Amino acid sequence: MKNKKWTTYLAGVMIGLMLFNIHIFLMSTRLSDQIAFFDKETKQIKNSNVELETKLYGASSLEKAASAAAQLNFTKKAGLYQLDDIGVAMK
Amino acid sequence: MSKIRLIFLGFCLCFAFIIVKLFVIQVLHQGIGIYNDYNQSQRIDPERGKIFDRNGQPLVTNQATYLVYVEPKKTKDKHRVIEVLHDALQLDEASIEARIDDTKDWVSIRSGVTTDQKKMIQAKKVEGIGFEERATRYYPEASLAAQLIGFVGKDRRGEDVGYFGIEGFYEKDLTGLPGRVSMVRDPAGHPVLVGNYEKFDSNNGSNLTLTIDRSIQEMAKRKLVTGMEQFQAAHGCVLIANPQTMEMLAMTCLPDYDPAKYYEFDETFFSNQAISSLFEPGSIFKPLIVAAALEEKKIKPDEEFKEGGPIKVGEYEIRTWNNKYSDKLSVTQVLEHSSNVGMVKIGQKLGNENIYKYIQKYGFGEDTGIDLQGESTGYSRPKDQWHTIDYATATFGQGLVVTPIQILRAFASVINGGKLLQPYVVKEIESSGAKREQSPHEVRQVLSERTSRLLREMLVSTVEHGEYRYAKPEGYAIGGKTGTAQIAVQGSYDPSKTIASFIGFAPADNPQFIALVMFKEPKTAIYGSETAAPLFFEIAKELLYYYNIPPTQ
Repeated sequence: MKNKKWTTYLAGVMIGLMLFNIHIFLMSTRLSDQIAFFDKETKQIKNSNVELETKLYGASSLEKAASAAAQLNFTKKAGLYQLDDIGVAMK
Repeated sequence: MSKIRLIFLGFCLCFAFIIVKLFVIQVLHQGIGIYNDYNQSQRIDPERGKIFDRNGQPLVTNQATYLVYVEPKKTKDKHRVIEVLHDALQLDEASIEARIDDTKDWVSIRSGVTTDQKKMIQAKKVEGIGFEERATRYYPEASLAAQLIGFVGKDRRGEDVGYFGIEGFYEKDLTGLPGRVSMVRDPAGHPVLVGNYEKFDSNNGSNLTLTIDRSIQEMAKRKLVTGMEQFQAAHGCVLIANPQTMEMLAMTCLPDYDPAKYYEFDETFFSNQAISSLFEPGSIFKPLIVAAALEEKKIKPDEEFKEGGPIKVGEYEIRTWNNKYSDKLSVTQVLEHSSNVGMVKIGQKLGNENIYKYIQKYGFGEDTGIDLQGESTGYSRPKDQWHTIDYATATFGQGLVVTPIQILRAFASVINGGKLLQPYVVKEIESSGAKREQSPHEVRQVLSERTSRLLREMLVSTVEHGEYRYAKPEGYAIGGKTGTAQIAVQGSYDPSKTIASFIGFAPADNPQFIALVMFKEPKTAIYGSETAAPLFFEIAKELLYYYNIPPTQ
């Protein structure tokens, strides 16, 4: 009678440990998936950051400004103008 | 058979299967990627340092580009693959077809593919096309400072490495250190949270802030392009620096190249002419000799010299550039008229020993130490190879060779109070938040403050009363000197081939910038006064406005 009680108790512990083990395994699998997911996300965000940075630098470059100015026909007419004789303005 | 025996047999079969499988893995397939399949180690590439101008504007950054490859054994429709790649990459269909070898597992198609092109290909959802990400350099200002910056190419192992200019000189700072991560992964490539996990973060390369001003560089290059077209010169350079510190503000030479497509250019385009080309300086050398003679008190500022006619030195006869002669010339007038005869007489008073000594003191024949890869030291003959005629011609800048950066540095010492400084292009190096500033470095004191002041006044007078009337900005005291050196071809000078140059500075009482403009072999006009000088004054006008320097006259 006492032996049977011990066997039932041991079997219960074993089943409990097995369930706990399965739970841990599933948790780690889920965490692995999450790591893989965040790895991918981080890489994508980094890439889109680089892409946006490149676009921003390109848009704010003098090269872009010069090309836009040429398209709008600004360059030839908007040269530096020096006031050599400012007599009227000084009065 | 009892149930217990059946279960026992089942266990035995299972164990036998496991033992056989382990034998296959550990003995038969020993070492064939068993460990590596699970315990994967990956290199973490560091980001190469970025390069900014002195105002924090980007000159070189990084961008993600892709290598497009095809896996022929996985492609179902080869013609569709060719069609998609042709549309997205504008590659010839025949050349794509020739590349796709059906017997191979993997063939590369093109590197440097942009994200937009990648998205265009991916949208077609064709099997067998893959992408490998690679970081490449991005130049927002295109070739604005190509020879100054250099480019990033590959070494023999296929690793990125900087060549020429800043990329070459600061290679170790810009590269950074790669990191590594090793962990156990399942067959799908997902990390498994058991076993070894080691991660060493990469150290990104240092960011560099240059002394170069993007706006001044752009202006200088724009003016140089116009000058090159106008004078049909073979080469041209514009160097602008702060003479008080020798921080380079702009450095551009033409012809240059596109650093993003460096592989399409011949290697002769890569070297920076401003630091590597050797030339005879001609008359821009004269103020250096005059300054030396004044410093050594061999001549007085108000002393007069008889010009009269050509002067004989040994068997040679030295003439003025236009073969016209005045009766008497003051020291200032020797510079104003750029008199070779006057210079020979000043040189005779200075003495051969001193001429040689000052050529060394001005730093000719040694590198300037500028932080750019590819600097030439120039050439200074040993003293025992100097003859009387060499000392005579050296006084007006013929018979010796210098680099543009050497003559700019020496000239700066004449006008900045006599200090010979080391030129530099990198102002600040920033690594992981820590900043390291580069400061001006004085090599030696060449002249006194008094001599320097006298020369500034003489050079202002040279611009005001020289042989040529320049369209200079009104109200500003600008000093400078023209130079026209003939080019030696097979032992004699070809009068039609010249190096036309001008070095000038402003404002004269406290120079904020010094600029050297030079053209090699200009065709429509051959003199420095007709080519380099007008371009210098156009540049000076823009710089005076840019720095908001008020007129003083």
